[in-house]
Amino acid sequence: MSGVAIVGAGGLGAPAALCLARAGVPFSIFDGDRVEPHNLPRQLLYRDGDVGRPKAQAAAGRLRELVPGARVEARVAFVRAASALEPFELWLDATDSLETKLWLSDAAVRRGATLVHGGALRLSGQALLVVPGEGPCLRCLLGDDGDGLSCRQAGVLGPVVGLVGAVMARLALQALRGEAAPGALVTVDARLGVLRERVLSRRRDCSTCQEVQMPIVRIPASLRSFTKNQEEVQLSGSTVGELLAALEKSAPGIGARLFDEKGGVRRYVNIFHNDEDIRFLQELKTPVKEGDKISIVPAIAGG
Amino acid sequence: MLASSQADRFARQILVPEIGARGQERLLAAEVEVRAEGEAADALVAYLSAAGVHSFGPKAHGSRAPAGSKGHPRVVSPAEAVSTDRWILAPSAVAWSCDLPPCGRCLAEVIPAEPAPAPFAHAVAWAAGAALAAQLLLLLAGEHDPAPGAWRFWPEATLLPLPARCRHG
Repeated sequence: MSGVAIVGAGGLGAPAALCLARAGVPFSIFDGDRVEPHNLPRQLLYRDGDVGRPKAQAAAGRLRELVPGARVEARVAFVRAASALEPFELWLDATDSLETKLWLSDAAVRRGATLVHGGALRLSGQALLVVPGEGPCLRCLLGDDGDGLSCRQAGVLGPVVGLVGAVMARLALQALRGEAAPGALVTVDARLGVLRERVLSRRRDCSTCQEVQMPIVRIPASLRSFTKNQEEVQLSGSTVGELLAALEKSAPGIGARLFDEKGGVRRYVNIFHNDEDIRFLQELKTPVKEGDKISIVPAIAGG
Repeated sequence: MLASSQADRFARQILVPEIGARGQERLLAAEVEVRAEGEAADALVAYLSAAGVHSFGPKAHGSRAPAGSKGHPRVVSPAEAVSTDRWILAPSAVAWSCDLPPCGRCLAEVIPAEPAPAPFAHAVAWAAGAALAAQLLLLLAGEHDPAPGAWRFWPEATLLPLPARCRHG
């Protein structure tokens, strides 16, 4: 993965794109919308003559005009599947729907891509740096509630969204240089005159972070009848033994294939913690942590 | 009354309670002269103009109001100048609003001495221009008097403490 993707060429994406282009960062900008008159008060890359043009195309053209030598690729498309963003290591969420924002954050965490989230409504907004495995995600900030007002319903003031877009560009530059704090959160309220930056912590009960952090147990083909054909099962536990006990609970019967009468691992079953045989570690007491992979590998009989 | 094309164009900001249709009419009647140059000032002029305010900077029009000006535009000047109005835009890193006659020395005491380094300077300047534009639009729309304060965007985003009164007379 390499490169930067800006998802959305609106009030957040347009200033973020301009700041990144001026800083010499190449990127692709995605938007399937066309420029409309009500975009013009806050999406400053567009002029009256651009009304009706695809935003991504108009934005890329204007950026090349304003920043000679800017390396901008226009993608006239909405991002509807995370696979479209797979080639990119850094994503900027400049969309205008809470549902899409949560979806993008989940996808970034699952794929291990760094995400800079931005959002603004009326006179306030925020930007958050999401570094999977190292800090919180958008769900840690907002919870699981995907219902919320959009700018279409509640309105927004152009420079407020522009300010958040510029802060997103700053966080993106810091992330690219490895200088940013995972979970850096900037909040702004133009009405109250409040501006604040702090580092947000991961929420313990965040469904997305928990899912990604749980260790994975890989099931060999010969035992998948117990796991309804699943190749991998995510389980919680602090040792290999606890994980395999949890596996027996979720896939009853599988334990008899793995353990002998005394509760030890059967001789013809090899269990690997990441790439190491647990016989050379601490056997079933081998500790596991977030993101570890446990593989069950039956020994091949022959002679 | 706003024309229907104006109501459509400015729909999103009219929905903001602090602006509304009445505030939008005030914005369309307002004038601002920005006596500053650079990316922050460019962003400020661009956001004010896009929101419907008749605004102009020295680059495009010189320091005098353009033909058709209604006469007494609000002045937004750089920090180096001691302005008689209420607003100051410091070079690149800080947006400042103050109810007192702003004093460049007051501001110099709170802003960081070093500017943002090269790759960040553009984002910091845009943020400062946009922040000041937001405050100015609220003021011009007339429903809300923004709280005085200095916003810093580098090395982190924060509100800077301002002296309660100008200490320099």
